Amino acid sequence: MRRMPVLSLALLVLLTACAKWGLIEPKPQVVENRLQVNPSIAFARIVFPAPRDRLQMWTVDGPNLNQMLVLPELGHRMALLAEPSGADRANPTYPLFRSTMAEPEIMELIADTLSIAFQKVPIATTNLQPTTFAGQPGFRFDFTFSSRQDLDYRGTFIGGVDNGTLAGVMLIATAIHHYDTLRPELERLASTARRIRSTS
Amino acid sequence: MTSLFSRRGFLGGGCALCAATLAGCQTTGEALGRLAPGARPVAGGDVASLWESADREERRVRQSRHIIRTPEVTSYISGLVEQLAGPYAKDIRVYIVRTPEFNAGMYPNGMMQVWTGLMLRCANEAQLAAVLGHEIGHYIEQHTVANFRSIRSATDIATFVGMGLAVAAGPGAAVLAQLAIIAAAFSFSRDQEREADAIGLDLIARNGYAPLAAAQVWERMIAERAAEERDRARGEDIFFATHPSSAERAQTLTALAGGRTGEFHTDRYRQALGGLQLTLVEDELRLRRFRRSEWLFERLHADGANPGLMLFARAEVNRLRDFPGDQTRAAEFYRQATAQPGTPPEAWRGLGLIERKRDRQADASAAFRRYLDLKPDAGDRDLIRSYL
Ligand SMILES: [Zn+2]
Repeated sequence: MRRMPVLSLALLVLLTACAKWGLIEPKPQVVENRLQVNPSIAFARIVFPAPRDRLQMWTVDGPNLNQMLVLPELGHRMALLAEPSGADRANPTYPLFRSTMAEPEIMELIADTLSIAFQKVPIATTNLQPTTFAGQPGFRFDFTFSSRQDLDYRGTFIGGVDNGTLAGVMLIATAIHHYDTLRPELERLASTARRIRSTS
Repeated sequence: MTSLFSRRGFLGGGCALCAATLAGCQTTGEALGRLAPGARPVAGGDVASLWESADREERRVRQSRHIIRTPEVTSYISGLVEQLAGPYAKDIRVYIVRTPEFNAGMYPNGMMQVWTGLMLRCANEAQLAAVLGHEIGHYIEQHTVANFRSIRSATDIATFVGMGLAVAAGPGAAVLAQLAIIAAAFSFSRDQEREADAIGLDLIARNGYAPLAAAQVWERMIAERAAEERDRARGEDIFFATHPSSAERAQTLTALAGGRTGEFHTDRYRQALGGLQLTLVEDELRLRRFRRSEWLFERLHADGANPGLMLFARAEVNRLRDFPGDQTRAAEFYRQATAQPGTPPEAWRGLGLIERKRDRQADASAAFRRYLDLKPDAGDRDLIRSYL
């Protein structure tokens, strides 16, 4: 997983023609000044044109095969993904996070956001468990879905709410191969996660 | 992420009763007249690529994980199409696509797609039959083929543009240009929609259904859209102002129905959908289109559809939206739902979440316990247990 095959890179560039990408090196990374994680492998980071999603997208083999999504901080009444331009503010496309949400509701929020983003496919969630994230009580869950192109995906979210804001890491990858390969890295990102308080 | 996964499907905007797409700019093909039953129109020739695309799409759809394969439901829907299509029945194959949108589509090769969002929105068999009849109308009048032909002959510009793009952006672009032509073949003109409406209405009337059902489907869709736009327009029904053709269409269909009566088959419809109804409700809730969903579930509830399930759905809309007053309403709907048959265990879960938020711990725990009793293998059982 360390090297990035040339073919995958070409594919990545083709798929993300209007996005830029950068390199995430295997060393402690501070994401948007809010969350520190320590990857053990290199990722390509895909930067979409504004408006920016709250989720940062990293990938090893291209976003159709795997996405490591890092959520540095999501505040009250914010959505995980940016509204498409020209969207109606009164009818937001993606559900809004509320700091009062219970864990099962945050799971619904994340699953429904993905469902809408992946062309309204149903997403099955399982295994919602309490856990520790960034030194605080958190939660995790697994999910599966098939894309409209009939590729089967598996995923896991690990995160938590602290001070009324949600942070976490999430893996979405093909069920046949990439999920199992990248799962240990997701666990590593989660176990090294540290939230950074704003000092201002 | 969105942009990477939202490549539009072949059917794109689809067809059925799609109000927004009626606003002009289509090329209407010269009418080809009725297809003869059993006639597989000439494969090859100038429409060859249209057939190839439709057949390719059908092979994909046949394998797709998003097709509903519940035998009772598929045989019910296929049976309806068979009855309506009469001599054309053998030429049409129906696929139920799990997509929570109001749509159906008819491909020129005889593949019909019925989307689950349409099934959720129909109040009875007659309404669904009206939409199926409309689609059969497009098929037997060969509208897609006519449009495809006229686009091809009017503009070999498309090919030219395709080539230009191909040079600039690589071989994929030519395929995209081809797909764009095919998508355009599915944009029906107002006249074609009228023709399909008339055929659909005729087919349901001949099969003993109430002809008024056709106008009703349309009126419900207008009302649902209006519900979504009400706030934006500060109380005015801007949907009607911006989509006069929709209202006009409903009026035409009402006039065509005349005073004729017939069957609606409401109970038979709900029975046939059976357990699938919960899936349809959950898929709708996932979209978080609160105003539309609220209108829809309220309406279905008022129609008398499966009250346990509809009360649950109305509670969920309120819980998920969480505007001022929504928690109280949600709790009330959950309580009513849990007193009805046909309510899913998730109603107890929802009630527990609301009561926990309202600091009514005893009520919350009781509701969560009931949920776990009814659904011991629930995906969120471990976390819910931590609340007890
Ligand atoms: Zn139509």
